[in-house]
Amino acid sequence: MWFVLFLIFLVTGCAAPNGKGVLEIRIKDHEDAIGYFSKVDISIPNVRFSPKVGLRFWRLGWIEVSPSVAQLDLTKFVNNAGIAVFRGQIDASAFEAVDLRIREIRAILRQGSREVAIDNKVRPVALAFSVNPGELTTVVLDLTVMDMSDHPPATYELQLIGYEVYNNGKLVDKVPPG
Amino acid sequence: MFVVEWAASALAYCALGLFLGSLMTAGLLLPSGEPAELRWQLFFFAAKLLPLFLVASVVSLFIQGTKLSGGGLPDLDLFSRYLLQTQVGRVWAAREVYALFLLGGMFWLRRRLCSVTGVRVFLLLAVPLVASRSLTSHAVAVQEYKSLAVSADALHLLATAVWAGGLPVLFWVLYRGTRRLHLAPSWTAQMVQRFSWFALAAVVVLVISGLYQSWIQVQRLDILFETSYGQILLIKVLLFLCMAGIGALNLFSTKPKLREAALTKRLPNWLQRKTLRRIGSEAIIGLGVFCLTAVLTLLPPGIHSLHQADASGGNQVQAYPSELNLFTWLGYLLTPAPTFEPAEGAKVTILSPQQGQAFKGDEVPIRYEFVKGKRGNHLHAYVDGKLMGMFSDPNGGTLTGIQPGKHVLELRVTTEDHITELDARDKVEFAVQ
Repeated sequence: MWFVLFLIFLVTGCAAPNGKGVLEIRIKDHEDAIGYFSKVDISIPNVRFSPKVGLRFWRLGWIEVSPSVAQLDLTKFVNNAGIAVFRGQIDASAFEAVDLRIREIRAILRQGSREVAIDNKVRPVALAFSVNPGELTTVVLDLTVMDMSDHPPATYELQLIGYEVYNNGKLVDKVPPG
Repeated sequence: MFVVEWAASALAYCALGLFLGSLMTAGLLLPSGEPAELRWQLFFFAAKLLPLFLVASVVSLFIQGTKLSGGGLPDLDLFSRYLLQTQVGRVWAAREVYALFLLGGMFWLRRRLCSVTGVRVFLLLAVPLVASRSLTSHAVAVQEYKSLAVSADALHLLATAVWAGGLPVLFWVLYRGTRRLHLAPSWTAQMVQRFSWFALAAVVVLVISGLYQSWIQVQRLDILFETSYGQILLIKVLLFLCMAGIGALNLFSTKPKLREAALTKRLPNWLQRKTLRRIGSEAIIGLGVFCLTAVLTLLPPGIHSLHQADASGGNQVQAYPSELNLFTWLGYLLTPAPTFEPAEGAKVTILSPQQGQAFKGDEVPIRYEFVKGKRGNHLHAYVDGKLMGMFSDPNGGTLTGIQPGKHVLELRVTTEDHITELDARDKVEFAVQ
């Protein structure tokens, strides 16, 4: 009996709060190797979030949303507030992962204006955040272009190196801390 | 191409497993090596398996050559370079020559081999042929304790060959002995009794060596659930458990009943059928294990495939499964959040900037003492938590593009893969005016 009550308590305890909140996903880029490029166009087919599952494993799965901008030039968002790739109202809930899906990268080096390949190493990341009713949650994903041209794998890589989570403009989480 | 490569590899595994199983049955399981008719049939069956192994190996070599030549027909020059200059090629050639000598010896000596001892000599000679597959396995790529990893792999292969390779042969021998030659129940009981000792020893070796190999090739639970290598390994473990279950049934049910039948000197038909059915089903699963092992040898080991697809540049961001299902999610849940790996002798000490030192301009020269240790390769430089550069110079370098203000510089020793950062770090505060 107590066990059943405990389970009900756990399940209902994980239940989503009612109402809708605003979620904004921004991306920004860092210095590193981006300075070598005159243009780094990326196309984003969609952005996915994974709801916090807890005991309700039947909720397991990605929620997919269309981005506000499908294509952008990363060189324009270096060390600033970045750009919102998604902003919209969603059901208030807790989430545990974000997947910024990047389909295509087209990069042009400043020197010689030649096109070079950048390997996409951006993969889904564990990122806990909550969207509360009537509040704004902002997730800023830190991207960087790494220069690996002088050692294996002898190429450039686009990586996700960290993130920040803001609730109504107040920083609540930052990885890596610093 | 993958299917052909897998088929050739599986054929080679099955051929060698049955080869060892046949010689083991003929030399060690048949009570006093009798009946001689069965012994010789097993010996010649083993000899016929060697050409199958040779052909499968040649097909594998040809596929390897095709891959190396970018999908085209490989030429002789490529083959000669592959066979003479690579470890895999040299081991391949040595195994082929060894198998040819073994084959020649088995046919040349067949008239003189009248005793069980002769069969046992060939059984002994078959061991290096089976075990040497480990010299081209994933174990060779292990950086630390390589000889231990290769030895564990060799033992694993031998134990698999004894158990999974011995079962189909045992099935055939029992079928011939009971249905065709109508041998006494005591003979059947002895055969099963002897095989069960070998099977038990093989299971112990398989569990220990399998756990060790899984640890070095997979290391993390999410890799087990998310990579192809890990998933195939899971299926293999499931098959192993099925085999072990049937084996336990034989040990605790079939074997005592056969012993009773031997005492009463009467082997009822239902017991014959039950024995054959159980051993037969165990044998079929065993052949499945060989086929899965062949797939595993073609896939990159789990830990490697994760490195290839790793999401993060540093190890502060935790990867999450892209394909979300109960298994991958459980794997993620059971994986500890990323931490720094042990330094293993690596060390870095920042000499400049000194604590609170101020600089003019956006360039900051840095100096450090860097000890690479066992696994360290270069340094990652973080300014305020952001990766700002990589240094492989043993003494120092220059950070550029540093904005005015107070900053925290952190240097971390990193391995060659650019992903694994070691617990060898140093931090200092400085300012740019």
